[in-house]
Amino acid sequence: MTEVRIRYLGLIQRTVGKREEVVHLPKGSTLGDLLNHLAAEYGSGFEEKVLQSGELGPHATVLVDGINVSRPGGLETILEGQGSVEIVVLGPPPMGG
Amino acid sequence: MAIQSMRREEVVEDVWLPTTCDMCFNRCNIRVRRVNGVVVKIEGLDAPPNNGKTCAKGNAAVMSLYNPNRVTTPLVRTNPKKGIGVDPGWREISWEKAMELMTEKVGAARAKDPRTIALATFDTTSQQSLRPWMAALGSPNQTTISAGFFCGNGVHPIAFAMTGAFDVHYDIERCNFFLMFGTSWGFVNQREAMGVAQEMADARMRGMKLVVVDPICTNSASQADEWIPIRPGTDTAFCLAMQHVLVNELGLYDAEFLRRYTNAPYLTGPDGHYVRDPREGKPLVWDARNSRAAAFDVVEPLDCALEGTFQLEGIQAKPGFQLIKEHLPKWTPEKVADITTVRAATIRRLATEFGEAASIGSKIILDGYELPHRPAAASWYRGTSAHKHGLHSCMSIAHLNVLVGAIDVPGGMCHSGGTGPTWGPVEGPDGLLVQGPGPRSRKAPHSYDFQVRKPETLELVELFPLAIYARAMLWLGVLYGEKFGLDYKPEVLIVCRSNPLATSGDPEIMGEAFRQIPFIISMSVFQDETTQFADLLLPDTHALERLVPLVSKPYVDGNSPPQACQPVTYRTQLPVVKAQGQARYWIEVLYELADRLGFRQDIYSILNTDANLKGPHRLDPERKYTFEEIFDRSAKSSCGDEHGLEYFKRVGYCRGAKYSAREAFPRVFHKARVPLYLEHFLTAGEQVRSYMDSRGIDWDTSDYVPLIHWQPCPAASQANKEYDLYVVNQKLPILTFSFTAENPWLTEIADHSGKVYTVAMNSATAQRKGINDTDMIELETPSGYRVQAVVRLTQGIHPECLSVPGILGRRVTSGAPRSKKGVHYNSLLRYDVDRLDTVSCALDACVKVKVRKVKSANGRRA
Repeated sequence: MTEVRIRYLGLIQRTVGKREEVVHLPKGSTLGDLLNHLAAEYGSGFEEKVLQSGELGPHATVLVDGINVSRPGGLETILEGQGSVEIVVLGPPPMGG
Repeated sequence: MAIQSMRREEVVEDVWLPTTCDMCFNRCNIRVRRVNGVVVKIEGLDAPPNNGKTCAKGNAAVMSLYNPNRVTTPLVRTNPKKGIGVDPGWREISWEKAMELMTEKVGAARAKDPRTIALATFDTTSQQSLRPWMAALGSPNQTTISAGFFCGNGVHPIAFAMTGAFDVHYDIERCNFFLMFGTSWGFVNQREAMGVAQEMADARMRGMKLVVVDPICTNSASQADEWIPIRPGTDTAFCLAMQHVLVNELGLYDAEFLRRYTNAPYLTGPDGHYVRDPREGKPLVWDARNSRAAAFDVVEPLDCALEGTFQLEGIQAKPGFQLIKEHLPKWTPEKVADITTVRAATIRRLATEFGEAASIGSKIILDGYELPHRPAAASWYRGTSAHKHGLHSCMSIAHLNVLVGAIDVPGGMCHSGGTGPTWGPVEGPDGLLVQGPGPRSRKAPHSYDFQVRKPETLELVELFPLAIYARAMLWLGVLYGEKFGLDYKPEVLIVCRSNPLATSGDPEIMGEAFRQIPFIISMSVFQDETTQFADLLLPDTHALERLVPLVSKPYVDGNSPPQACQPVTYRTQLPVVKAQGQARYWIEVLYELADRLGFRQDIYSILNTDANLKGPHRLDPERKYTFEEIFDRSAKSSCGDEHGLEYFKRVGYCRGAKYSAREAFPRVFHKARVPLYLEHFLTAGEQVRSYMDSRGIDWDTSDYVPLIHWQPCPAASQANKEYDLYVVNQKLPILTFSFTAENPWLTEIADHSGKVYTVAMNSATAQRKGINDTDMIELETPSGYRVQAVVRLTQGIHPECLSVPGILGRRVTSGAPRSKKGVHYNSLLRYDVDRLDTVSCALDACVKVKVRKVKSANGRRA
């Protein structure tokens, strides 16, 4: 099994109701597997903020072991044992007028 | 006073210090002369994008800095009654007491539900530092309010759909025919004002033709080759007629571009939706070479049929372009002439000139790449956005560019820095263009895989699947949120350097909404209409007194340099003088509040990611940093270790990498397609209708259709013929933000012009009504609002219009000379759902009034 320590930052904290947690996944699991696992756990609120149509949502950023993987293919990142994942969700962009 | 006393002193200091301007949102690089601690002069700094130039506003910043009536101490309200003109009964308190009160109110609201805290600002320089604060606080309710009622609503959704970027930039350096609708791009009151003004001047000298379509002969129209006066709110009809001429009369369109880079070949069924491959669900196209239907991504683009009707398993299917061809004859120049008041021959001529100037098929070599060259572009902004059917209007203009293939290629409409070395547009659902993933904070919403859902934001933006924001719904969210499904009410509103009660339309209903919010904190340099509603008013720094802790590119991060292949510059605002009185930079106050409430650590963690802080420059959440330290780390992360705070203090900016031609003009380097047939509007409309029906809300979804159409604004349908004149608002280069109306130098210029604090009327119209130049007239709206003003007669306005410029006629100001002169345009506007564009969420700025003469110029009463 792979042990992943997850830290939630920003608007996702209220959705999951916690700041951090530890999740165990089968060895060789990817970031996509983890996010789908969390979506099943936390429901539509998580999906709306983090996953949209199988991709990272527009305001979500994910770091795996401190490296930003919010890029094409990022969800394929393999999670190594004792790894850390940081999920950051910001509000709608404060742009424009 | 400071300068007079200085003359008697010995000059012990005379230095020029670099920083960036804050008199509009463009953040030009400036240098400030400081003598003995006093700012005496401001000039442009010789760096992109303004290249040594600054406008009148930039020069006049010194007068705002030394305004003797600035807010300089924290104030607490003693009068519970709130309203514009109602004395708040301010009582001075210490900063410590103010922070304690703020901590108590924000802390209590956060403990209850952080979403109950909203923050409004249009301080574009500080937004990058604010967003992590809002996220760590836990609230999605960060809003710009003001301009978001009218301005970019019809611009940004289209920019994202066409280029994947927040805004668009026109490559007028390589353009020969430039058409402007309701904008003054290139005339000092738009994005990258000074740099683009130079580009515009250069292009005009080179011979680029400029045509401005606008009810008013604006600053830009007065300097154009041609001004086309048009009836307000009819640009859609005008553009559809141009499209009809291009497509059906001249056959002048870029068929290869449409086949390769748009959804024009996608087959559609009788229900208006795409016909899809039953196995994979991909839209089908008709493969003309092999006479078969196949998924869009397996057919050679040039083999895709654009026209025709095809039988597919019992249904009749047509390419989107065929439907557009069949739709456009409803909008011939002859039919449209009555709607727009523009002669059919003029529309036909302009369409021909535009199509021919596009030089379809021509190429240009840049950086070794052979690229399509389409030296014709059509542009738009607030004038076409601020209407009930504004998104259709703006899209009809964008589609002129699409038809001739002038998207993201030299000479045409291009992205505003949306593409870079690490990311760019990518194929999204159905092969349509979406913004690719990458290290950007200003990301586009998912335009094609949205889901209308129960709102979580006070703006109710979840109910506007095709909009970028829904600022104009904020007040409905505050007043009637429950009706739309919102499950909380606002507890605290924080307003920073913004005056929405003056700038957002209908101050009466805005005031009503403000009164519903239990606690309002305002951080402001000056007292204004909005600060009068505050429970706590805190003195903010002037931009020349503050250090913005994150380095950024111009305007909003990621926006382009003024010329597509020029380098970007990184910059910030650096303090050149000490803050007056007890003024503190509002972001610094919020960060201290976070410290008191225990979420500063989360801000630092988010900053590490959102501001892309690298390696040793990442913040340790367990430590506390000064803004100097944060800026140093931000600058070194973006610009390299040699470009920290000390470098910026000395130089003011850092030149970044030059955009290559491939980055500046990415169209042919990716396959993502742009929407010409708006199938996703249908899907969005179905979702919106379903949600509103479920809430029992009567909601206009008539614009959620796949083919652009023109519908009249509510004002045009005004039944009472006494209200016979439209009032149109225009931006002025010297008065961009509402606080500029309090700047003595700028208002002196305005006064000298004789045309700012007055209402403009067409001479022929005036003659018909017995009104003479400089008479005092009264304007009355259908809702009964009345205002008086001096009228100036001119031929430079459509005969059915009056013109009121800027945000003038202010009711609460710092007391500067002329700050209350003029007509407050937004007071003429009525705010209700019937006047909202339910697609873009723009408030309709189209209003009709009746006019009567009050007094002759000689003082005789009418």
